[in-house]
Amino acid sequence: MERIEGVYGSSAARLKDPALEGYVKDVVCRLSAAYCDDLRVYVLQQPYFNAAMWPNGMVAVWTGLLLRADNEAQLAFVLGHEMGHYIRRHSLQRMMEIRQQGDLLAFVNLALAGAGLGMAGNLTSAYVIANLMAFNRDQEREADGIGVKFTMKAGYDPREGAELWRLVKAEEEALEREQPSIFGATHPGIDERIATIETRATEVGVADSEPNHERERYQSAIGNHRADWLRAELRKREFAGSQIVLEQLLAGNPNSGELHFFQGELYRLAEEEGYREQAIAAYRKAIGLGGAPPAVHRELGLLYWDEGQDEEAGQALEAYLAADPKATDRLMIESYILQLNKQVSS
Amino acid sequence: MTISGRILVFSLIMALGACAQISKVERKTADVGDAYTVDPQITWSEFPGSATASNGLSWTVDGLFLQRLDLFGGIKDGQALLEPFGAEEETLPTFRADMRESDVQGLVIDSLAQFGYLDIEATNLRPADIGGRRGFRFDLAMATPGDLEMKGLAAGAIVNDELNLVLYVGTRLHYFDARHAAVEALIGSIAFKSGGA
Repeated sequence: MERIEGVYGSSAARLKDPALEGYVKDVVCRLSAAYCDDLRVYVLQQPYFNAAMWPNGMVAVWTGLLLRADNEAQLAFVLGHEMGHYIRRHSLQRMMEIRQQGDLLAFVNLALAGAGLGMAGNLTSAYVIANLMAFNRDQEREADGIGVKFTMKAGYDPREGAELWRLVKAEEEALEREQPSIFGATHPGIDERIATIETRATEVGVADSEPNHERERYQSAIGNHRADWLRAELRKREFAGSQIVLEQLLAGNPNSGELHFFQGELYRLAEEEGYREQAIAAYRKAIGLGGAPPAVHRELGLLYWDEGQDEEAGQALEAYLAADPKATDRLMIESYILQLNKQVSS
Repeated sequence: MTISGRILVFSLIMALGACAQISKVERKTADVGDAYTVDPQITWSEFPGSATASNGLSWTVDGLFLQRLDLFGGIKDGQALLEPFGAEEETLPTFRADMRESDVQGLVIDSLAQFGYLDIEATNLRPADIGGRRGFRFDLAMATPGDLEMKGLAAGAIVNDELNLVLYVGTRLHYFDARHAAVEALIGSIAFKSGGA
């Protein structure tokens, strides 16, 4: 395990942001002060929904989970669930089983895959290894129950865990996935999980309390990274699923120019029918709202150019260079402006 | 799910399974598909059947893990640059005939990301003369999953709606620089075949 943790620590996949890792660790400690000192958090740049807590106390949280969570209560529920596996030593039990089967290499590969490393680099082999490591349903239910208790005790609303699962379910339905998400590959069905979480939450009396979601604190903690995570999300080119994620983010932040920019990016990259008009509208909205990266002007300009609106294209590209005086593609953009000016004047 | 083990998987496959196919590139000119020729400048090792698209060539001197030169000729609308091991075809970034140089830079970044590289940055996109055609160049910086820092460059031109591209990547320490001068001369030697791409 030490070797694996060493790989986690030095991997380029680790998001080297002590403040963010400290924030996630703080949530862990809010959930349980007793285990606080034993757990070490690693945020890994992987655009998929996943988290894991290993027997030696290393906690891997993927950025795809952080992007999808809307508030601290949702993150807390996932961490609380993983803490359930940790406390009950489920992964240790599974590791021992695998070791008895003489297949320790598979376990090491699973752990490395958790960091996006090792032989399990692709989706198919990750599923194979995830299934190898699958906890049984009783262990999952036990971890869910512990997760509800931890989140409730820390003052969060555990029903937010069910909300997060609803998002994952919508994403998988949009992608028409035959196999569940990586995280889901080792868990009971999503509908069953949602029902279990809500039943347990009712049992512990959450409806009578006033739990908080700590949404502002959460949004503030992840805000600096959201653009990078959205870029990584779009690079997966699973646009139907990413559209669900973006809709969720926009529902919570309808006036975010940054999010409308990425909505435009999704339209542009997915190239569905009428995408240029949709992307142009999204970029224009992003510019109107403010907060979008300077590239919004460049992408708008290039789409105007595609549409034969040369004058508007030139203006948008000029706006890009004005918004980003140190643009590293300045020479190319200047050459585009020159071409457009010639076309306009001819 | 992540694809970032593909570099390792790919390298192991090359090491274990494809050794017999590796050949030396000692010709004075090499054809890159039907699109263009280059002067290799130095002796490279060629890895046929690597992760590049079917009409790409993959060369190295010091080992693909440390340094690789990929030559793409006549990439058509809808074709991918790189086809990493285990990738699902529908999620591969593909070239579009109506792409501009800015879009090609995005295509290269997305392709490298799917290949497993992390923290990819493309800078200095600029017009360039490539084989007498209006082309482009840009610089790259990235890291392998094991946090090995890499440098790279891309040079190419879209000719007759087809993409022609030279992509060179090596470790920031030593291996990029080791063959950089040869790659620059090779780019300078690009000669499009008659009729364009």
